[in-house]
Amino acid sequence: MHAALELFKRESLAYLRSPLGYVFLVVFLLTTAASTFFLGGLFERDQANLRPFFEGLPWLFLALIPAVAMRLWAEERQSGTIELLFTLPLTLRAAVLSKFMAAWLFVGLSLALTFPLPLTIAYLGDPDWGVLFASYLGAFLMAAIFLSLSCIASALSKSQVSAFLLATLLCFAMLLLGWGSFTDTLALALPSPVVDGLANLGVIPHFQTLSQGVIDSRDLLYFLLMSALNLLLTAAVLHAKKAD
Amino acid sequence: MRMRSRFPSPRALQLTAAAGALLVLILSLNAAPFFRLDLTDEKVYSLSPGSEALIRSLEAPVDIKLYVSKSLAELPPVLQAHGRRVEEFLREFTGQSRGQLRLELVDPQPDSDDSIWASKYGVRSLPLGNGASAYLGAVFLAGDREVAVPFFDPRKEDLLEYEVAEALAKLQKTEDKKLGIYSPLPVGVAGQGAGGGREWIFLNRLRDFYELEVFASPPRSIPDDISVFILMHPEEADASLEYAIDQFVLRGGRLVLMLDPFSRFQLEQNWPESAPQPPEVSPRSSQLPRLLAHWGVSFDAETVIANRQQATRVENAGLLRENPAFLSLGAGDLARESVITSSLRQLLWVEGGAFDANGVKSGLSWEPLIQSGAETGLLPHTRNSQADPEGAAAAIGQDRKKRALAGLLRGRFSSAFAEPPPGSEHPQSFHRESRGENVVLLVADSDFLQDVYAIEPLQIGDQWVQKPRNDNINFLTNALAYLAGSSEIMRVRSSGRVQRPFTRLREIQETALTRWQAEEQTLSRELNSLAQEIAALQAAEAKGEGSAESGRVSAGVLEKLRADELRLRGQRREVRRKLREDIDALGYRLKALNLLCLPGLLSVAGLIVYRRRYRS
Repeated sequence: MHAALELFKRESLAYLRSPLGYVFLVVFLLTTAASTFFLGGLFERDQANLRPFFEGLPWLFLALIPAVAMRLWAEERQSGTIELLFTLPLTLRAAVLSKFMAAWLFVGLSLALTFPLPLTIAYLGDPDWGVLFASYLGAFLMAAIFLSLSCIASALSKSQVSAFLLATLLCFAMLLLGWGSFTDTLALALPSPVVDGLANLGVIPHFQTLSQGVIDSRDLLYFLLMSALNLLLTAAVLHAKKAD
Repeated sequence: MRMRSRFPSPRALQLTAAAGALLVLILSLNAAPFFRLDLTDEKVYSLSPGSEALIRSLEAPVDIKLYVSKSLAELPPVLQAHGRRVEEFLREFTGQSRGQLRLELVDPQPDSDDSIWASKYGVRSLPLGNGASAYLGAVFLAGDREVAVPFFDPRKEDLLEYEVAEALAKLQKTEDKKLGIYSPLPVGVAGQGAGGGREWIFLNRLRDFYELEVFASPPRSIPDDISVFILMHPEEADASLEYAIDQFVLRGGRLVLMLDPFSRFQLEQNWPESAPQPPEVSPRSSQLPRLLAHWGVSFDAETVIANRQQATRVENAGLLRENPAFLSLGAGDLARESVITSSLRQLLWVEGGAFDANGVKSGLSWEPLIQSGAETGLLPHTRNSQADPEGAAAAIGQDRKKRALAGLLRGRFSSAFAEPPPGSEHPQSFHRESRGENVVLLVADSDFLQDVYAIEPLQIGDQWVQKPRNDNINFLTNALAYLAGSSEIMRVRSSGRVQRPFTRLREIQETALTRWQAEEQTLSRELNSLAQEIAALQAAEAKGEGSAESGRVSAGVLEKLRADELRLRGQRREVRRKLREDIDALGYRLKALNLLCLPGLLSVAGLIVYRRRYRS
């Protein structure tokens, strides 16, 4: 337990001690602001909500979150420190969880740093704070899914670059699953209960409900269980590779 | 050589199996019980108080048969998702009913008894194109009464609660109240007029609930079987019409009086769409002078109310322009305590008027239901705001205050007539006073019920459905439900999307407008007179007046005038640009702040960390 906390602390600080962490934050904030104002036309829409921000977020996460997770396991394996990690008084599951939580905390920090956006619309008009809260919660939970998927990729890869690419692919697949026209196309080839099930695994529909201001226990469970599932798979991959 | 074990680690297998179990759990989430927390301001996703009251008021148990196709292979995901949403919603609805509502799900197979029953009940099937049909409708049964919702349209998702509540309400209707309506406007005319005038849609909605009698000519007396009467835009109210209304109210009938200082419908009825709007029009207003004077309520039929802050973007010759005479009213302008308006959120008032009940006669009281914002002024009703919306905004009178646009007049009424006027029907049954208390609804607009301002047509497949644009028609139906005595049936919200515009931008626009409007108006006037001068000169030339000598002179004058015109135009463009300048400036500032502030700070922080780490 103590070792897990230590690992968590060390990993969390690592993001802030490395200049790359700041590069990520700057890139994240620039792209979200640019996407919200220029692609989404926040100012021109004349509506006091952050829809342009949240609608673009899944795709921004797709591009940026693999970068946060790629170093988690691939770097350890590259530099050989992964053997050291296994000698610590710490189960593999706990290690996976600690590293994940650190990365999640970091992404949470980047989300929190988008606070100028809600401040902007609060200055311009009267936003619905309940919807904003639920949307940010949904964004944070959605990040968990992207992160946990990227962890699998990181565990599978020997280099950070391949971890990044694989993670992007996995996250993209997850985004497609919930996408209307993709599901329609699948329905042409696969039986309907299968398509149904696959569509339920997609992240966008669950995020959408939250971003409308509704906290549904099923969506919360989806985010938690899906992340847990991905983390279990991460641990499974690490165990399998450990045997080599 | 190290032997690589080909058998995967047992731990890895264990974990994968656990992951598999989680996958199964996730896939079965949809069928699980759940709870929902609605964090929206307007509680858009929960049952509204109206629905809850409706459920409470149910006298007998109601069976709901939901026909929803679940097992169809070709079912489009949109319908599937919506079917789930409808099922969930009905479960929630029935869950709150303490047994009064019972839900039964039916998945009709083609050519089965179920599908035959479905069509008997009036539940429609949607053909899917390859022979299969999908069902998503319901029938509500209570005793021997039945009301069907033929199809829950996914595009009307935010009306779901409304449709269900409406079906329940229709089921509850025990006595048939008869509604009468008279208007010189062709509201109830089907198939007449150029291009086939259609019955206004709000009448259609009323027919769902009441037996409706549309009077083709002003009634001299209102039949006894009519409980509620709507008098809409009486242009020339002669004594006999006023007397009929007077007696109707005194015998206990419920009156809805709609007066309008400016009937846009009448203006545009015979006006070709592409023609530019005339700036001045002849008055098309209505009044009920004797009765209003007798009641002590005044209505100025010669002014139209306007408010820049509540201006609405209206289509005007292909563009959207802000027209201050089209007021966008929100929940803050409506009476929260009244059952009629408490659940309404948005209204569009179209060039209406206002009532002043400061002098209301004793024995009567006035309860305003709809008020306009504090900056509401007046425009002459001969001015056509659509001809020049910006000019109209600048021309609003200085007398600005909150004005009452609709309200209830309650109390003991007395006749406005000392005796029945000559030629009236049944002079012997002259009521001098009302027996008990009565209530009259006064509304200061008639255009708000026009299809184009109340409804948005939506096409699904080959069908057109009407989606409410706002709560305009709901206001009327709520009011009628209240007046007809079935006031426990409250309407639920119609639209899930509420406008939240940038109020600060409007404020900035206001200040900019006051600063520059005077200048812009002067320039516009000068330009207009210049244009007239030029036109006059050209006309004279065309007529061939004068010699070649004067021709050359006038050409010189023309040139100078043209140059002046160009200069003035440029100046006016400058001023108009300045009107937007402040807003644009704010936009730039905000974008820059968002883009540069934090990223800038973090870049500096990153540089510090970099130097600290790699310097040594």
